[in-house]
Amino acid sequence: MFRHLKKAAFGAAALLAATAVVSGAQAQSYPEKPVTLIIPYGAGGASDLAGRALAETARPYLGDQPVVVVNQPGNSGMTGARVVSESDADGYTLLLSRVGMALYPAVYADSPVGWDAYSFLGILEVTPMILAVNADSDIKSVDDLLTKIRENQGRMTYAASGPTAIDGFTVQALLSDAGLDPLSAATLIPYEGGGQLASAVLGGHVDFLAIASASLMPHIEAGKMRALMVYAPKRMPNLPDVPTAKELGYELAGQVSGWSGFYGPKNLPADVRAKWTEVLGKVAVDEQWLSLAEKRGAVSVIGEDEPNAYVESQFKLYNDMAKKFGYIQ
Amino acid sequence: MWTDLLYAFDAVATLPNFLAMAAGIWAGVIIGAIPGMTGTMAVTLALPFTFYMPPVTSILLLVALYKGSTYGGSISAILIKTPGTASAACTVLDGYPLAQQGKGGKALNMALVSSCIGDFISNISLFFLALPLALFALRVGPPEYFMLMAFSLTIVASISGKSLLLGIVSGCLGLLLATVGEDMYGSFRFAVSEDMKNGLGVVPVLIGLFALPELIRLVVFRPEDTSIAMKLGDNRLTLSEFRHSLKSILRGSVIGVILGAIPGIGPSTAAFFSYSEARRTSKTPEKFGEGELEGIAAAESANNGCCGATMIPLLALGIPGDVITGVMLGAFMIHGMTPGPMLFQNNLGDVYALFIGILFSSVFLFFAGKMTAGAFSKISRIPQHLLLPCILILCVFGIYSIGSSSFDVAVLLVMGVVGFGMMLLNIPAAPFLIAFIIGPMFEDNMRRSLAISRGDLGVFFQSWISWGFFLLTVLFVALTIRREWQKWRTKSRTTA
Amino acid sequence: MMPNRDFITGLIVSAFFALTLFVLIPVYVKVPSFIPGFAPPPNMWPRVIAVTGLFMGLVALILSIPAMRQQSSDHITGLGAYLHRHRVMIVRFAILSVGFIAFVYALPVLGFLVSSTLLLGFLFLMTGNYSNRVWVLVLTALFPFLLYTIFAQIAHTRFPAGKLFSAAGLTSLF
Repeated sequence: MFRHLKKAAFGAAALLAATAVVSGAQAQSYPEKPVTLIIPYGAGGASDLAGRALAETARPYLGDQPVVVVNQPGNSGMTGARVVSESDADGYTLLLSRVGMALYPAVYADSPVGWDAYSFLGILEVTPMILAVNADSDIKSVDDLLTKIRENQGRMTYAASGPTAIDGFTVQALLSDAGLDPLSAATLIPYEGGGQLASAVLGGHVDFLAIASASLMPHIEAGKMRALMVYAPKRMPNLPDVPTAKELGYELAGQVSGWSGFYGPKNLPADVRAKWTEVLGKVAVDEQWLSLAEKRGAVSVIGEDEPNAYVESQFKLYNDMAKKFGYIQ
Repeated sequence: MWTDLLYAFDAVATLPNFLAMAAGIWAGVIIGAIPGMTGTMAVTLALPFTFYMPPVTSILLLVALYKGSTYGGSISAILIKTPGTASAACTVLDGYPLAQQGKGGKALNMALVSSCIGDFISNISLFFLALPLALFALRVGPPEYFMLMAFSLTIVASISGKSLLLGIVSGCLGLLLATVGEDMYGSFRFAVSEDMKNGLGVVPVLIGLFALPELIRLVVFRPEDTSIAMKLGDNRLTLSEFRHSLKSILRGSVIGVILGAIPGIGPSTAAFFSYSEARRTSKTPEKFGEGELEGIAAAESANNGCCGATMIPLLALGIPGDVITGVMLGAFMIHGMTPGPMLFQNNLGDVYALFIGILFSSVFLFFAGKMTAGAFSKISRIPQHLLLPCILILCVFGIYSIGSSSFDVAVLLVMGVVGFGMMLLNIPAAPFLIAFIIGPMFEDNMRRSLAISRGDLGVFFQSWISWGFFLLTVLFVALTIRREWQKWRTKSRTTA
Repeated sequence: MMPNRDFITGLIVSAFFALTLFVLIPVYVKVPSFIPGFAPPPNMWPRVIAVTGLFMGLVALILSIPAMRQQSSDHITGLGAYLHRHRVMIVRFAILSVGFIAFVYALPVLGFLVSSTLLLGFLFLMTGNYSNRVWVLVLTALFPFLLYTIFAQIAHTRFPAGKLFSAAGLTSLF
């Protein structure tokens, strides 16, 4: 306890000193105490596993300072995001961000945190989303599905976390690409969490869904669900026969996919940014990180995109979609 | 199969596995007993450690923590009227009155015995009935779920105490507060401030409503006897008491197993459900709520009966029913195992090893519970005017640490004041709580069903499961109205 | 006519649900346009609850009247006298409520540890029983500190340190 507080005090003092004495020596000293990584969603989900994998992998590269993972769920992830964006920019409070951090401000003008209220440290991984139906269904392809949607005039149902959640946008983007009304061509049935979403299709209560692959792969592998399309830049290694949305020529749907990023509060000191750029570079080729990512069904993309531009393009993408679908004027 | 089983037994009977289970259960019991620290927190904290353990050991550790914390909640529920976890809320109703009568030890023993029996029955059904129960659970769609929740809401009538009218008022308050925050379509209700967008947490509401009014009453009324601690007299559970409650324990276990297997229902609903059934079939229903051992037996057997059963949809279908099994799903995936039908094909040995390990956990639970309850029961000796303020501080710390949110602490304090007001106005707290827990499930599934059927009410009467629960609900409501009518008539006759 | 407890309960309950139904729901429950017409809107369920609650409150109000008529023949105390008789308790309750509110507002300023220590001391004072003074002092000083240590170290809770202290650089005092 005393040690802990002393360290905190020392950290605060060091920070004060840093304003006078410009880094140099400080580059080696960050981090001097455990770094807190806030995950804005509940434990056990895809973002949580990604955050914990990052925490475990990064530790040896941080001079053995642990990365403490804290789950702070609520308000579609914006609660945790707000905590980080409002915390001290000392590099000891960081955020594992998801696509929601760009999507939410794109849809809600009164979002508590803007899409750019952070320092972007990196984009970690892309997590594919899968469009799937129950294996007993007679729908065999995306075309079958769209035909059926047209025939039924709105009676087809799909499960999603909500109309403005990423797994609602997957379907709405597809409908929009097919020239249908994204809001009324099929009926959205809201469910909470990957488990409930999947069981709605497994139990035959709704007709289809398009959600994160991690929640669907077990059922697809067991032959209980059929994958029709993948929302990802390229085909998934364990589903080589399933086409991507881009291959099928769907313009908006081809750009939708899940991802995890790594953010800090705005105006992070240069030495902190430099340290993390160095650490993420090492994590990118770390065996443990790569194997954990593969087990989650994610593709590590550390260092492949310039984070600022990537997040901005994502914000624009969803902002345009929200306008097109009629969520905002 | 038998060679598989023998092989699995061999694999599970290792020192690290037993150590993990013993440590997990013990830690779980202690964490569960501390107000504001929940099983979810225990499991989340343990998750990083499991990265480095063999798969079976790591899952056993998480299961052990889960089971331990579910039982542990009953200790503080009985001794200090503060349910350590939401699932122990029902245990407060009879547990605390018993503790006040100096029968805290007896109540703790009853809770432990019924928890262990419920747990064991749950484990056995996980072993033998996993697949049929999982398939049943899948058939429970929004309309069936809605009917089940409608039936559960009638529990309000059983736990209303003296006045059904005020019980319903209390239930309405609970239903209303449960609607605060984001609704299923992502629009906000009663979100006056940014914090309220998240809604009100179950734990702060629960603890505020049960535990805090005791403190406020102590401060406001300053009763004479605050320095006198609770008597500790009658501690042993006699065989006849056990036999008297056995039927409720067995019924509670079965209720726990069935409700636990349906994703999303959870142990608190099961506990209230079982309690209501025990009260309804009891010859002395008026004793429930005043310190009836059978009430504890019913609640505790049902909430621990859920523990094993929540693993059923996880293992057999790969669907986590709650946050804790969600964390377990994560732990499986870290080890490259995907729960679901494929698990039984690819990792049958591990599955059997897991089942056998889980069976042993009931035994560990008994010993860990016995020792911890013994130590905790000394709390009753602390005078009230020292104990109650400390409990509040403990709750404040625990609740802050769950969500790192000062808003939760504010909710705790406000609910304490509301609870005190309800106490003054004779409005019972228990219906509020059950309505608060069940309300969202009831509403969401009603709206889901109507969205699927495009407004056609016929959707609620399409399967035998819906019909069954519908008829039960109607029957129960009719019986309650008849009872109230008779009560009113005898009352008006005596006054006239 | 002296209002009895059931009457007051009915009155408060009816007033609360009426307020919810006619003010809170129209103002604070928005109905977004994207929810399809056939699906129940977000304000439907709160309305059902509020109407039920209002009805129950009114029934409680009506049922309490016969009992009150009987009582009123032997009691001639008004509401003012009733409140006067219980004024000590009302004052205690008010002080306690103010203490709770002060605690919530003190959290970000004084920090978690200091605020909770003050709250514990305040509560011990308010119980009005000073028979275990040594214990009271020891508990006030050590109990929050102990909890702070446990939660910060084991559960990694990030407790607010308090603006007052971090601004003055006083964190090192602990």
